[in-house]
Amino acid sequence: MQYAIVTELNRCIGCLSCSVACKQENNVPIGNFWQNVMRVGPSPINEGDDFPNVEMYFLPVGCQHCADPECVRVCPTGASFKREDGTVQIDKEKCIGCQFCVMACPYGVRYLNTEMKVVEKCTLCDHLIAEGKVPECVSGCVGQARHFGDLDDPDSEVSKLVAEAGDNAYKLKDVGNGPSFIYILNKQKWRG
Amino acid sequence: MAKLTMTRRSFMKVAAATAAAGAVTAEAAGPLAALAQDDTAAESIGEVKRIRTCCRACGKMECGVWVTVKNGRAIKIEGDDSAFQSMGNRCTKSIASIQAAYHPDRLLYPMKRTNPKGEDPGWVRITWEEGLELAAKGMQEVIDKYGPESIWTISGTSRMWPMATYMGFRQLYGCPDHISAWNVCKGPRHFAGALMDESTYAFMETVGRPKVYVQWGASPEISNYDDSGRTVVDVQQKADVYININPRQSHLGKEADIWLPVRCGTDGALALSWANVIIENKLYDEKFVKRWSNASFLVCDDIEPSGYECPKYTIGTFEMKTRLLKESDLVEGGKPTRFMVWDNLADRLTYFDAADDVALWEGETFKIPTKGKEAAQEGLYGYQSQGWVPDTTDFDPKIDPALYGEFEVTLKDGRTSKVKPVWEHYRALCAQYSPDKAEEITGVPAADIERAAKIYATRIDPEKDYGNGGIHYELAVEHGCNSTNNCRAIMSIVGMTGNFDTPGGNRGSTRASANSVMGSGARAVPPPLPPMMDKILGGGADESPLLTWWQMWSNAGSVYQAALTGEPRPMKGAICQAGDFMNQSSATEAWDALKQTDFFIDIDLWHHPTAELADVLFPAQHWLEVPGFPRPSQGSSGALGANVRCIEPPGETMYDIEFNIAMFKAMGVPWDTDPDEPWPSIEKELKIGLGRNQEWADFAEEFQENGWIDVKVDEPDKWGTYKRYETGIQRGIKGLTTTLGEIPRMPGFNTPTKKFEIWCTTVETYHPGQNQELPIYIEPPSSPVSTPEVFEEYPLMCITGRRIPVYFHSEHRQLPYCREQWPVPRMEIHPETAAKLGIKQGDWCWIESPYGKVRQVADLFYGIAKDAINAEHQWWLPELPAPEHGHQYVSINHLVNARSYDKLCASSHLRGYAVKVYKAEEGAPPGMIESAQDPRLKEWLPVYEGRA
Repeated sequence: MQYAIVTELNRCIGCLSCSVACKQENNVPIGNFWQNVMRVGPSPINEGDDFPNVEMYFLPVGCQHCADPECVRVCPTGASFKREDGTVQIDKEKCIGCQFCVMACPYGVRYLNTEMKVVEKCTLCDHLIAEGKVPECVSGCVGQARHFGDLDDPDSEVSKLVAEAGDNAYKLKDVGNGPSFIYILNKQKWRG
Repeated sequence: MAKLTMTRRSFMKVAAATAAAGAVTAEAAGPLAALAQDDTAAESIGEVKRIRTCCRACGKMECGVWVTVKNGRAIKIEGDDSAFQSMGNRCTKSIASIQAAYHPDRLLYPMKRTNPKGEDPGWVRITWEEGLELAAKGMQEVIDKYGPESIWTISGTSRMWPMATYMGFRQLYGCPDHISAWNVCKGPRHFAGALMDESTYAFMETVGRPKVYVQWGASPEISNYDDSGRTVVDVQQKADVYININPRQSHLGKEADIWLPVRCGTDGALALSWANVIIENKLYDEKFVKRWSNASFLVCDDIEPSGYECPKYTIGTFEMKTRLLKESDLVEGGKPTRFMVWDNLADRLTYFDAADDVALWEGETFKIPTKGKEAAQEGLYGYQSQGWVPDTTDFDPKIDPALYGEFEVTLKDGRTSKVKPVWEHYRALCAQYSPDKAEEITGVPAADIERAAKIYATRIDPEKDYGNGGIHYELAVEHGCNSTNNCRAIMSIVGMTGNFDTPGGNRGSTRASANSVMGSGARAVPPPLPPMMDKILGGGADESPLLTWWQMWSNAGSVYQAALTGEPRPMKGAICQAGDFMNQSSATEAWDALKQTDFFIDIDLWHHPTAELADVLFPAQHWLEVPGFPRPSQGSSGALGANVRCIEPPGETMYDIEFNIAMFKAMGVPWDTDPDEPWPSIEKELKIGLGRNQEWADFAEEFQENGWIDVKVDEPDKWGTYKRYETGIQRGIKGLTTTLGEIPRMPGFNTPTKKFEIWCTTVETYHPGQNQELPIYIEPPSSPVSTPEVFEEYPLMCITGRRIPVYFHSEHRQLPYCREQWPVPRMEIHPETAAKLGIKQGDWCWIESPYGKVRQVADLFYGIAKDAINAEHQWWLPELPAPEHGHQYVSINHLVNARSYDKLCASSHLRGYAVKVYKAEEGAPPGMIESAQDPRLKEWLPVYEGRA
C-alpha cells in the first residue's frame, strides 16, 4: 500500500492555496511550510528560443512519502518511520531533534520546531485520512489538480490517472529514496 | 545504507537552475506559533458550529464557504461544494481571514488625532458619540466655509457593498465629487457598456462553460475576479480552445492554446484587428448585427447633428445629437426617433423607430417571444440550470437592412446626400487594422491574430443559435488610457459574433431578487442634482464631459490638483470607506491632497496609511462579524446567497450600514422616508434593504438550510432567459445586480437608439467632431511610438496591476499566512534586460519614472518582453511607522502621471508608462519585513483577549 498524491500540473496555477490550507489544517508555525510551491520557468521552450516562446509550470513540493526514505534511514531513534499505508511519519515522542533527517531529505521539506524541539513535516493529513477524508491540500486545491489515493491499488483514481498519463508522469529527482508522489505534466518539458 | 548524493541544498539548486525564480520557499525553523492557540482540553468540549456564508476576503467573487466556529471563535474556513458558482473554491485570502478578524492591530474603537496631519496622528480613543459629533461638526465647518462642493468621497472595493461613499455621502453632503476604485476596476467596462448596450455586460457567464475560452487582460484564476479560480481552471480545462491575451505569461496563460502577447496598451488595435478578420471573413452574426445593432443606420455627413432628449446615466437628461439619418432630416415634421436604413429587399428607405414607447422597425408589433429552447451547455457544475434561449426573431414584415453600399437620399431642404451604413464606416475603421498592420502596432504575429479571431468567431456548434462564448476581458484594457474605446471595441466583437446575453457569453450582472447594494444610500434624500452635479471635477468640456452624464465618479487627478492648487475650487473635506488613496492617479499627489484637508473621515479595519491622515477614524466590522448582507453574484454566475454573522464583532466596531445611518443622524439628515423612524435600526434596514418580500431572518435561515439559490430558477424572466433584448427585459436592466419590481416589456436596449450601439450616439453628442462614435484606437500616451524622447531616458514599459495570490489590492500585508508567502513586492524583468542592467534575482531595484520612484525586488522572468517590466501594485508596509507605513517606498502609483487619463471616462493611466530600472544599492526599505522568518510575523497572529 502506498498512499500518495498525484498532481496534474496543467491544472496547477500557483495560487498557493495548498500551502496555506495545509497551514490552517496542521497549525504549521509561521515561517515554516509543509508544502511549498515552486515556479518552474518561464523557460525557453527549446534552446535558443526567446520571449514569447517560453513555457512555465508550478510545482508543489512537500514530503514525497518515499518508498525508501533516507530520512528514516538516518533517524537514530526510529522516530521517523514508514507506515504500512506507505506514508512517512514522525513519532514525536521518540524524536530528539537531532535534525539528521532534515539534512538527509533531498527535498528540504523537514524543519525543526524549535519550541517543541522536534522535527515536523507533512503527515499527509493522517488525521483526515484516518477518517476516510483526503488531505487538505487535495480538497483545498483551487485548480483541482491534486488527487489522493493508493498507488499500489491499480483500480484507484490515482493509479488510473498515472496509467493514462503514460510518459507524462514524473517524479522529483530520485537519489535512491524512491519518491512516491507523481506529477503529470502534458504539453511541455519536465524540468524537475 | 544507500548514499544520497543530493542534499536539500543541491535539490534547490537544481530547481533554481530550471526555475528562473522559484516561488517563495521558506523552510527555516522557528518557534511554534500555531494559529489556533485555544486548543485546551477545557475548550475542546465546547460548542462547534458550521456556518454557511459567503467569503469577502477579496472584494470580488461570491465564493460560498463554511466557517467552523468553536466556542464562539472561528477556527476554520472551507469551501462550500454545493455553491455551484464557486465549486467549493476557497483561496489563501479566505483562509487568512481568521487572522484578519482576530488581528492584534485591528481598529477596535473610534479615534481622534492629536497631532497635525503628516505626523504620527497621536490617536486618542473616543466614544462613538464624540466621534460622530466631531465628524458632523468637521464636515459642517467645511461646508459653511467653502461650500459642499469642496468635499469629496473616496471608495474602495471590499467589505460588502454598503459603501455610502459611492453615493450615500454625496447625498449627505450634497457634494458632486467621488474618487471611486470602480473608475479603474471594471468601471471603464461599465461606462463603455452604458454607452453602447448596458453598463454591466462585460461580466461573462464563465460558469456557462464556453467552448472557446478567451481571457483578455485577465487572470481571474488568481484574482477570483467575479469568478472563482476553481471555476476558471475548470472552464479552461474543458474548453476546446483557450486563447490568452496578455503581455506577460500569466498563471493560467501558461496553458494557452493561443497566446497573443500584446504590447502593453495596444489592446484596442488588436480588438479592431479581430473585428477586421471577422468582418472580412463574414463570420459575424448577421441577424444580430442587422436587427439588434445600429450597424444598418445611415451616417449622413451633410446634416447638422440632431436628436432628442435622452436620460443621462444617473440623473437628468441631455439632448442627444447625431449624424445618423432620421426621418426628421428627410421630411418636415418627420420624427427624430425614426432612424433610416436601406432595405435591400424593397430597394427603399425604411426605418427603426427608437422612441421610448415604440422601439420597433417600421410596421412591426412587439410580441414577447415564446419559441425557443433550453440552452445546451456541457459540463455545468452542480444544480445550476441551463436557462432558456429564445429563437432569434426575424423581421416582420420582411426587410433586409443594408450593411454595405452607398445610397443617395434627398434631405428635407432639397439637397441630396450620399450616405453609408454605420457598418461600412466600422468596416473601414477595422480595415485600418489588418493583421499585418496590427502586428506592427501590437507586436502580435499577424497569423496568430487571424487564427485566434477565426477560432473565436467560427461556431463550433452551428446548430446552436449562439456563439462559442464571451470574451473575459478585465482590468488591463482599462489602465492604459483609451480604456473606454478598448472596452467598446471588445464588446463590439462579442455582440457581432452572437455572444451577447447568451449561454457562456457576456450577460452582465445577475438579476436577482435581493439588493446587493443594500445600505449604501439613503431613501429620504436625493443625490446632488444639476447644476451641482455638473461641477464634477474633470467633467469640463475640454476634459471628460461624459462625467456629467455618468455622474458616478470624478477624475481623481483633477480632484487632487484642485486640492493642491485651490483651482477651480478648494477641496477641503473628504470621507473614505473601504478605500485608499493608492489605487489610482498619482499616489504622491493623493497623499498631499488628503494631508491638506481641513477635515477627513475614514472607517477602516486597520491603521492603513489613508487612515493615518484622518481627523476622526472609525472601526469597521470584518465579513465574519457583520449582521448580514444579501449576496447575489455581482457578475454573471447567477447565484444568490448571503453573509451571515459567524462571530461576535470585537470592541466597538460597527457595521458599515449602521455607520452610514449614524452619519446621517449625526447631521440631522433623514435616511429613511418613515418620519417616525428616519434612522432605522440595522434589523429594520436589513428588512427594507433586502429587496425580497421576506424577513431577513427567514432569508438567512433558508440560506443555511438550502444553500445558494439558482437565480435562473428564482428569476426565470430576468435571469433564466437569455437574449433579453428579444423578450423586453433588457430595457428594464441597469447597473449592478439588482433589478427590483416589474419590468415593462419593451424590446431592444437602453441606449438612445434602443440598439446595441456600435455607433455610439452619446459619445457623438459629448465629444463632437472627434470621430469617436466608433471605438477608435489611440496609441498610448506614453510609449516608444508616441513619446520616443521620454523612452530615451526611461527605456522600459512599466506594466503593473497583476494579481498576487495572497493579496487583494492593498489588503492582507499584515496577515501572517499571506505575508510569509509573499514578503516583498516583486518586479518581473526579462533575464537579458536584467543582465544588461547588472541586476540579479532578488536584488532590490529602483523603478523610476519622471514622476517618482519606488523600490521592488527583481524577479527574473522569461515570460515578459525585454523592453518591459511588471511591477506590483498597492503595496504598503504595516510594520513601518505611521503615518506613511512605508507606502512611499514601495507603492507603484507614486510613478503615475496624474495628468494622463482616458478622455472619455477619466480612468487614470496606471499601466504602460516609461520607467528606468537600476539596482538599489541601499537594498530594502529600512525596517521592513523581508522574509517569512521575520519574528514580527508571529506578533501578528490572532489574539482573542481584549476584544470586548
